Amino acid sequence: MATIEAHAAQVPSARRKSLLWDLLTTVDHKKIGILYGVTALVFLVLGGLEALLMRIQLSRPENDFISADFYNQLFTMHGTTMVFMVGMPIAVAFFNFIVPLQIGARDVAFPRLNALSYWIFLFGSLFMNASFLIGQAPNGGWFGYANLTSKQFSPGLNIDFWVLGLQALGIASIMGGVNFIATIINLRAPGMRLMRMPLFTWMAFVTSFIIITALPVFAVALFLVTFDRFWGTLFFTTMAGGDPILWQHLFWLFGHPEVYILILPAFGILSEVIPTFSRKPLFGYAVMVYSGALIGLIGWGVWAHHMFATGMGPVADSYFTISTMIIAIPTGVKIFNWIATMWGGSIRFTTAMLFAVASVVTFTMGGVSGVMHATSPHNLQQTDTYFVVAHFHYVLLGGLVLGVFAGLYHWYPKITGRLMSESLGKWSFWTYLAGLHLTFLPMHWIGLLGMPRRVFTYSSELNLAGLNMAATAGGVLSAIGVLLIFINVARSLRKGEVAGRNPWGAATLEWATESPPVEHNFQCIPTVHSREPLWLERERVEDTAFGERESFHMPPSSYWPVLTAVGVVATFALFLTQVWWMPLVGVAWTGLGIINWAYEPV
Amino acid sequence: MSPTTTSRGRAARAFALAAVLATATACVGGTEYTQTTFHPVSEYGSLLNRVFYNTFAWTMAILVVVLALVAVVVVRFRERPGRSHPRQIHGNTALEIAWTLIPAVIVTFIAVPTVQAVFSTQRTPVADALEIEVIGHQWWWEFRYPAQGVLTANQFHIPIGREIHLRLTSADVIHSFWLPRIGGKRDVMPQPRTAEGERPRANHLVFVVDSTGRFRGQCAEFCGEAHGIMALYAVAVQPAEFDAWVTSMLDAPAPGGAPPGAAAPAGSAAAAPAAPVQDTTVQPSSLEEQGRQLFLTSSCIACHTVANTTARGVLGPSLTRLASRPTVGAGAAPMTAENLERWIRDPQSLKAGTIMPGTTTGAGGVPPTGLTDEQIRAIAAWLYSLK
Repeated sequence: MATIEAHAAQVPSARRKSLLWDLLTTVDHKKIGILYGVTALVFLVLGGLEALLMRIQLSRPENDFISADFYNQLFTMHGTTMVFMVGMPIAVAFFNFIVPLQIGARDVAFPRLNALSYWIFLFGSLFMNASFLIGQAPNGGWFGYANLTSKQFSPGLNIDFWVLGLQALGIASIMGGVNFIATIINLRAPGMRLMRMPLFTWMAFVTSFIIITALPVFAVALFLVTFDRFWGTLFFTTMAGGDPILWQHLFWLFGHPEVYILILPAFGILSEVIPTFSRKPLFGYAVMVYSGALIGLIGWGVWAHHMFATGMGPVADSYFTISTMIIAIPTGVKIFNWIATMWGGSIRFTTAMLFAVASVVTFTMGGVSGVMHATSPHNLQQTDTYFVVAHFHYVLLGGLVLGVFAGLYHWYPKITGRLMSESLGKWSFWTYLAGLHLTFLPMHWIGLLGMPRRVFTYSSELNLAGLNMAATAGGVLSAIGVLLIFINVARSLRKGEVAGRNPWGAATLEWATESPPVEHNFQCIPTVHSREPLWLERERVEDTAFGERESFHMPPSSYWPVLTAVGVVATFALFLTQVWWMPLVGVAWTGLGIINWAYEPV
Repeated sequence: MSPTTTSRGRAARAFALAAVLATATACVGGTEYTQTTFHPVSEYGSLLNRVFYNTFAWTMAILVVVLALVAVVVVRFRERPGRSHPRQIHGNTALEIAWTLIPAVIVTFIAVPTVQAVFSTQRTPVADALEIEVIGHQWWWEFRYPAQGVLTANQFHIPIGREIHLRLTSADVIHSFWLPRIGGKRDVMPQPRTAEGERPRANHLVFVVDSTGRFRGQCAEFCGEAHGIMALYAVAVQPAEFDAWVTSMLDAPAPGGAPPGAAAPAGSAAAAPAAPVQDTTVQPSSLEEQGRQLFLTSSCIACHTVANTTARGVLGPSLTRLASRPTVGAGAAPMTAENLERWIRDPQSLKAGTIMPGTTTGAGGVPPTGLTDEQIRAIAAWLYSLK
């Protein structure tokens, strides 16, 4: 693509690599960010197709468009794909491209580890989706409740693909988390104290801590299921003294922090876009930092609000009711701070800003249904119905997706050197927004009027055909909106107006680079004395950043990350052979990769 | 006088209230939505809704404030030519405290009645509550009445005005018992191992139904292939009608023998009618009598129980008074003789994944029944006569 070729063209050596080799061996955070982003967007299309098929099936009661078994595979993979192959990677895409630039660094702390994370993510995701080719895609839900996932009740390969693939993806995420924590702590430009970092970098920092603490819990839970399925342990079998509730506690102990992993990066994006286009600094910077950290922390204390129907007893129910309501407070504070940022500003409604404002509104709508969920007695009516589906799509599509689209329109010029079309952008925005609300607003009613979730069909007795048809129509509209965004991305690569270094007049250091940035980002790393260096000390910062090149050493490309990633994913995939020593082949391959990597000159 | 205390003001307030209520009612619809949560028939359900409406009111108020602020901002602070550079404000401590404390106070207004409801809905049932054991299966519901000795499936009767105590467990995976018109749902968990003589740990639902009617519910926890077809019906009736129903569900008493209530609970290994059984249903025609004979001599009895017969299988649902249920296969198709035939011939065609074997294909390790069409017609006719 144009950006990678532009990068390649800057390499002064006589021998230029092919594009494929360049991508396979790159350790450049910018290229890895683009790889993550493009891959995540491809999986967005896949997950979206899965959703459209489900919505077609549900558009009429007692429909037979797809079978029950295929539907169960679709809803499982839709959730798994959107959370693990879209939501998390797209955040990492932005972390990769933007964070080093924002803190005035030349790359992340561990460039080869960065590449390894990407390739494990890609190969692990391909492995999981390969299950569709043999008609045995995971079908236990994205939450995989025991004891349905036991060998007894799920005898096929479906759940095996699920536990093995997610274990690999988890490893990739944890490595990424470690990398960004090390980067942010160690590689900030001179003068950039923690409380001078851009909010997006702060949210990346908090998210990375949640990743390295929550993903290991999921890894443990997945290991328990793996042991049960492959080696006959009985962790979740009640007749042997086990308990399926154990899975739920472990899963949600991971799963609730997981949703904050999904949303905090988007909150970070909003905290960049809104001040930029309001031409005012972020209102309440310190509060925004502390509330983000607090959400990350309190997020550990609310997990069993996913389990109100399981019969934990009134004391536990009450505790989780209260803790869940408490976490709404720092979240609400953020909403008010964004509004206050815009208040008194001079607002430019670029497509990025439209997405950001819509994100604030839509997320708030999702947030209030979340408070309704927290009231545990009535939660017993809401849970496992479409009312919950409405809630989390409002917060995820409202908060995460609209926020990511805002980030896409905002940083596209920096990544590619060109502006996206504003007119197509506005069409894509309104179409997608209309589709989002048309799909998910009716679901609040569908749920409270009696339709449970995860059902491949529903009785005409429920009288919910009309509302379901409306939701399906909304799904189609949303798909068109996403298509328009993709067209904008593709067309603007060649036809977009040349952007220049700082087309939005933004404040933070990533805009003190070329568009796209040179491989080493800055000719000379500037010293900063403020939170908005390009608003308050622009001349000095830009003179340094574009001025005389200082001496530095960039990490060379390496093929060991991609090779090692093959070994890591193969280790898990080879479990499917049911031959005890096959995974050891993967372990050996991985070991060879790591040893060579360790001895590679850097 | 203030505008709201004149007679015109009072009329205006009354009109506004009526308009809001009318809109709200239109918003939630009526009982044409058979599984609506908005028209509870028990105090349990009504209490849950009161908790909800309180939360709804406060959260909607907050949402309205946020929407209004955003609306003002996008209009008033648009960039305009000639507008000077905005004042670079960094924050305001008083505002931060205000919009932290006010939501915290609102959270208290929501949390206090909520926690009260948590405890009041999870109290122990009264001593004379009607206890019903509910056992979830893939993909049907079993109901046992320990005191009355009744065993049934997918539809169960309860008297109005009396406290009902449901003891909820599962025979296989986690399901969730949900009757929205009555109240909230509870998961049913597979039973843990217990000491000899100890009842397995269970979940509980306690409620009193105050209106008669048939209320539909369904499983609300993903439980495998046919999770979407696992409906259940509660039939709430006058107490006298309930007693008559109990009698109709039991084996007819042996001539000169024990009253129905003393019969061993249906389904226990030791239970067997003491005297030649009498089919107490509709006057048997020869087709139905053929069907009954076929049923009792086929593999059907390996899985099914039917009162007043020798069929005492417990792997599948009880078929006592089967035709009084609205559906075949826990919501797979409406209850008709033809659908019963379809079910017996090829249950997968009505409910993919079901463990009921068909005539040519087995299921779940059970071999096919090998019944002919003629035989199926007879059996279906007999089953359809069990009203």
